[in-house]
Amino acid sequence: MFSRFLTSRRRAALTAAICAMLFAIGTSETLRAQGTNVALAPRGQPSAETTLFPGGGAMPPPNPVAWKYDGNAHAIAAGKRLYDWYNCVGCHFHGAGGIGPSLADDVWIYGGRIDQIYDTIARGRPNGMPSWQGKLPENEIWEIAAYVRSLSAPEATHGGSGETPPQPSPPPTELPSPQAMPQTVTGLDK
Amino acid sequence: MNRIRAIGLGAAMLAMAPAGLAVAAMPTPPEAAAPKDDGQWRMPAKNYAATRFSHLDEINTDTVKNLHADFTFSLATKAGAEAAPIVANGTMYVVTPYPNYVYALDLTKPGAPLKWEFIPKPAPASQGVACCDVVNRGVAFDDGKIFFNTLDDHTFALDAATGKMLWNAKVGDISTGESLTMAPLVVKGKVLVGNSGGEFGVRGWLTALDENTGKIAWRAYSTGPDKDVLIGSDFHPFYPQDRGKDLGVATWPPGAWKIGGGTVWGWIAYDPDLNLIYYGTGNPGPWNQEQRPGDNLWTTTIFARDPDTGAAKWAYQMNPHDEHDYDGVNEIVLVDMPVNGKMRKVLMHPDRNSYLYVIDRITGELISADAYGPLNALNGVDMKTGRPIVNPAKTTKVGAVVHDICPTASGGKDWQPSAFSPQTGLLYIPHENMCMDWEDVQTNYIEGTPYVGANVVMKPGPGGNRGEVTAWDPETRKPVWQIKEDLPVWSGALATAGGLVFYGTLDGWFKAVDAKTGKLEWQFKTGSGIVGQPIAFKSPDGHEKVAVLSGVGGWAGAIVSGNLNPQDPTGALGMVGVTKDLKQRTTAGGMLYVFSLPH
Repeated sequence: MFSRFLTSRRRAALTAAICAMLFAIGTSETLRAQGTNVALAPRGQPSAETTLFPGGGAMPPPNPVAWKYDGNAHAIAAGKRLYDWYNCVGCHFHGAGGIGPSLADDVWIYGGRIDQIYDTIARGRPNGMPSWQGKLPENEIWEIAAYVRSLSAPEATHGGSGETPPQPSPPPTELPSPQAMPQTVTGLDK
Repeated sequence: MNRIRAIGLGAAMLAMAPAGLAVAAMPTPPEAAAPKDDGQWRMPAKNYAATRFSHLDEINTDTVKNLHADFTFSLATKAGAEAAPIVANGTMYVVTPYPNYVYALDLTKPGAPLKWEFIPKPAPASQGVACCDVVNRGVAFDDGKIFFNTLDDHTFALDAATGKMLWNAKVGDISTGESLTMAPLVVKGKVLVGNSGGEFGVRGWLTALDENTGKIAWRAYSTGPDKDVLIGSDFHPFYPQDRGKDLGVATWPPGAWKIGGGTVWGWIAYDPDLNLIYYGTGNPGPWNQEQRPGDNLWTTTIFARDPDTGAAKWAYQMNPHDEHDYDGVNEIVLVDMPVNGKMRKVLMHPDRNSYLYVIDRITGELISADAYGPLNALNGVDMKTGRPIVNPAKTTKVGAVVHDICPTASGGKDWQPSAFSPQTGLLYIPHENMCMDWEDVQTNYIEGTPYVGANVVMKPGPGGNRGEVTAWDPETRKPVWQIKEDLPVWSGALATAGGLVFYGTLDGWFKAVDAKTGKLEWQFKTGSGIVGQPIAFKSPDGHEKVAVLSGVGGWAGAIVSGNLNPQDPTGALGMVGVTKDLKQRTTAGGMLYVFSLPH
């Protein structure tokens, strides 16, 4: 049984390697996007987790990488598998929560935008959320974030009392549509 | 010294007591483990025999109707308040769930004002490695000191008079998934502490700390080689399958014992005459049984150990190769009672697997195992080998959902402790009546994250009521009465010489029932669901009082304390599925309630 565990570890390593290659593609796309007059948060700059901006201001726009994952069926499907693999399911279950908070309601402690969810997964949060930065490739974190957001989509919450904050629309750019993006679902033939 | 009673006293409460003169010795806790009651309550289980019985009788079946709230005190916390209030030298001590505040209340003054408080500041990240709410089950008082654990693996000793910290010992590491939720027990100058984390691939242990310094005197692991388990030449298990070298290694796939669970987060009893402590170990991990073929020793096992050295004397495994999360950590109550006409020193243990085990506490021989709750996962216990007879239809597996397994992962009962009354000879068991669907899934071990591998959905058991309180006669091996509660009963029980049994419900009712019949005599609606442990004590004013913490949470109340989403029944390890209505019935918030009679 342990050999199965090791096998899955090896598989994860393989996934990571493949994802690293894809990540390189993703980076070049980001650079392309930067050439299109979009005001970008520098890569790695955290999203804000408040709506208060002293002296005026607003939430910085999400990293444009977000748009290729948010609502993308392939990313969500990949994210669901990773969510199980990396034991997210052990704390948050299939959205109800348990050890960690519910992900299927309209309460977002650290923000419900996909880039905020990305930050939560990557950086961890003080009340028990571990930090996965450096443990998972960035694209896998985006995929998990896409799945987490999908758990609270109106159809998932059966039109609950409130709503998950909508993802801001992408600005008019020549960003490729999600469908045209390379498949990020690889190495997940578990 | 054994009291006597008319045979059939219990059953007679339903009919007329027989006038027959036949007498028999009554189950009685050993006096050294349950000394004469001085009206204080220094450890959660009341005494080393763990009877949770008070000899006070001012509050009784006649007077209880006048019981009223004397004072209350806010805990300033929202998680499940599972602790027992502790009373010593005119002061009441309460530890809250995370962040584990400790309050000392002066019982000699009106309204019991705050004498001191201690704020231990556990690491907030520890909340991420607590499987079933961030609970704490109580402090222990001994030799002028208060001992308690914090969720982030520290044991503290405080001066009981001032609240000044005497020592602080780090005994575990949250980064490996370890946490502390249990109440320590102090035996012969040693503070006994065990870890939690059976859902995180933790390796279980019980540790003895020097009462005066906090230094580790010994540590007994629940898995691994004999030298780690403190199995030596004194170890004489009753059953042959438990004899052999390094069974804590050999009954696992290579290396799996290192992350195999067997945590020690429940209750410990102590027999001073035999100089033995008794406790049970938790479930093997992960829950997906296909990942750990073998008996998985020494998980779900009762150990008898020498408290001075930790050396194991005997062990008995309730659930070899457990497939249903049936931890063995539930309370162990010590009594001496006649078995087939001969007095035996026994322990009683209502296990998660719904069997009430009666075991010879000298030898570890199984005397009886009878179901007190819903059960189909097992078809009995082989009295020759001591091994359970597993029902193959309820064996869990990867790739299939096995339906209607009884009891649930949370058990016929969980940690919520029973009370034993030497007056009635009955064990009062607060428990659950629930079943579950279970699907094993492959899971990866990643240190510090859950290591479970099962999708579980719980549901009400036969009859539809989710909770029960059973008065069990250990001699006839049958229930004398049973109260059906709609919600799972997750509070401890208290029995008193006033002929009463107290317990609380998940929607906040604190109840007193007749110990002989189960008839409801009094109830009071507290502010939140009750998952605490009621106690009775003699106040400095000379009068009996009863205390309990209100504050829903724990595994059963997690849907409220954790604000979980009822639309996913797998939440909180399947508990959400069976408590969907709880948010409509109670709200979170911890509060101490103390009750007394008008005088």
